[in-house]
Parts: sequence; structure tokens; C-alpha cells
Amino acid sequence: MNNKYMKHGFQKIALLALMLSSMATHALSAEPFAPCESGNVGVQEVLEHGAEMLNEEVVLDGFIIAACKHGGRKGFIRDSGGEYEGTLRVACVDDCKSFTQDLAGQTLRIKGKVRESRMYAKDIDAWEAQIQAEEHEHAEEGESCHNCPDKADEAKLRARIEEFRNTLKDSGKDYISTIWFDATDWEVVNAQ
Amino acid sequence: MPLTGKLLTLSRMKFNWRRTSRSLHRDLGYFFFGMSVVYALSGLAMNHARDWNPDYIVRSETLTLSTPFPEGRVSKDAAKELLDEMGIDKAYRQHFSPKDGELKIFFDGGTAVVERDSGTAQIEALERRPVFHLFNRLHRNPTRAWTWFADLFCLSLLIISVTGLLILPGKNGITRKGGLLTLAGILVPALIVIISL
Repeated sequence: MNNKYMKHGFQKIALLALMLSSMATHALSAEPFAPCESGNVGVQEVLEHGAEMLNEEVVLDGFIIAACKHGGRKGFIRDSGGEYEGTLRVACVDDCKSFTQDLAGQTLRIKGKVRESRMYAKDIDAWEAQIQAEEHEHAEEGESCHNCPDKADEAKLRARIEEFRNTLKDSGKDYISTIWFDATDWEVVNAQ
Repeated sequence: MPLTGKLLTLSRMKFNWRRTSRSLHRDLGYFFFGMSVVYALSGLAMNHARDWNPDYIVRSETLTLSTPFPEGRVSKDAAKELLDEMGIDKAYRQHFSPKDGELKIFFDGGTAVVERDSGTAQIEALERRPVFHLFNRLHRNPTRAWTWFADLFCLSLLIISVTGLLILPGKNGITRKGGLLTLAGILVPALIVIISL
């Protein structure tokens, strides 16, 4: 009786384990993608002409110089050859597997979409107003309270705002464009 | 037996919550033993991320180079020669110049940053920590399949916790010693929140 019960128990457990492992294998197995290399884009193309390919699915080739240490959901990609100095931020989205730190230096083929955020003069003004709002008078000169913003941080923020204003002025546009890449999948193409 | 009779018998059957708790606690405990180990070890590792790198063993070394810093755009061969001079026999991957007078060379398992002004190279070698690297990756929720299974584990942990309270009757049960220990275990995090956060 006991043996029969145990036999059925083991059968149930084995079946459950088989089902779970099959589900996991299906979900974990990365679908191979072998896009046409001639259609792939590089970092320079994305950073300089990204606005023309926004939200389109593209394949990016480049080598990773660093991955975020906290979970690897972000990486920084450059073009090989050293001719172009720009670095593109790549964010892993959806089911994209994370980057690891020991990938640094590997050439990756990354599938995803080019994204852009735009900062207008009104956004910079609002930012400055927010910092201004955090400043407040004290009853006595020199006194501070726990709500006081850190002066060093505030100075850094003000310097950044100034920097953004100058960048906006030099850009020749009415906004500052920030381009990044949302990756949905990637693979190493130069495993050595 | 007619259907009404069966229903009457069922309604009279007393639900044995203690036996159900024991079965659930035991079976979920067995099934999620592996998950508990994954989260316990990675939790320990990541809890001390301020004191150590939980994922990699990092070895650093500074070398003084005799070869002059290569000027202009550095070729792949020149970067490889620098690796040779540093005594690094790992395969070259890539290189680039993060700023003027600095060259970063990637090789299998690490990086070397060569500085023109100091004539030195900072070498950093990374090696995956056995067990921890994998467990930490799982802890950080790498795939959708893991998200589902980890959610199931978390819900089961709640069931394991609650059923654990109900298993034992008597002096060690929840109404006596068990209750006091449960309360003490809740008070510790509560005190930490009150005092430090």
C-alpha cells in the first residue's frame, strides 16, 4: 500500500518537474536571430541619425564597454575601430536577458528599437523652478533644518542646468535630443 | 447513496486544518527547498555588496611599462603588443581610448587601462564567483520564466509561513511559546524600522 502510494507520488512529482522544466526551457531558449549584416546599424549611425529610425526595429552591432553592476539591465556600446568616439546607452527591456560585467569588450549584435527623449527650454525652466522652490528662509541666519537641500548637490544641479542651457543654445534646435537603444535581444558575435 | 445523502455526509465532515497545514507545509517545503537555497545564498551575498563584489572575484594589479605610450590611433596589433608586455596571455577583445593619454584594452577575463602620464597599466581581472554568480543572476530575475516561478515561490513562502504557525498544538504551538517567538520575530524588524528608518 505504502509502496503503491510512494510510486504514485513519485510519478506525480516527476510529471510536475517535467512540465516545469519544459516550460522553463521553452521560455529560456533564446530564439536565434541571424539578421542580414548589411542591414545592421552602428553606434555612429544611431547617435547621428537616430531620429530617422525612431521606434523601428533595427539590429545594432557594436562592442560593449561596460554593463550596469546592479542587475546588468543597462550597457554602453561603442563602434569598433576607434574612429568614432560616441557611446550609446542600451537598456534591456521586456524579456531581454541582462548584460554581465565580464562581457566587456565583446562584440554584440543587439535587436531592438531606437528611442529619443527631448528636453525643451520649458523643461529646464521647470527643473530650475523646482530647485528654487526647495530653498526656504530660516528664522535665524545660518540656521539649517532637516529639509534643507544639500548645498553641494544644489550647486552641482545648478551647474548641470547651466550646461544644458549652453548645449541647447549650441544645438541649433529648440530641444536637446538624447538617443538610446531599447534592446529586446542580443547575442555575442565574436566569441573568442 | 443518493446525491443528497452524499452532500449531507460531506457537510458533516470536519475540515482538519491542522492536517492540511502539515501536508501543505511539508510538500511545499520539499518542492521549494532548491529555491530557498538560491535566495538564501544570493541574499547573503548581495546583502554585503558594500563589502565585496558578490558576483566576481576581482584581482587588480598596477604595472610600470617600458614601452612608450602609442601615439595617434592605436592599432589592434599595438594593443596586443601592450598586452604581451604586461604578460597577459589571454585573448585580446577590443580597445578604445576613453580620453586623451589613456587606453583601455579588453581581454578575455579583464581589462587593462594604460596611462601615458604615469607610464603604468592598471590591470583588473574578473572571475565569476562559483555558485554565487549564477544564484545572484537568478535573484535579479533574469527571464520571464523565472519571474513566474519566483512569484509562485513567494506565494508558497506565505503559505509555508502561515501553515507553519498552525502545525503544532500544545505548549509549543502558536497559542503559547510559538506565539511569543512569532511576536519577537515581528518586533525585531519593526524596531529596526522605528529606530533607523
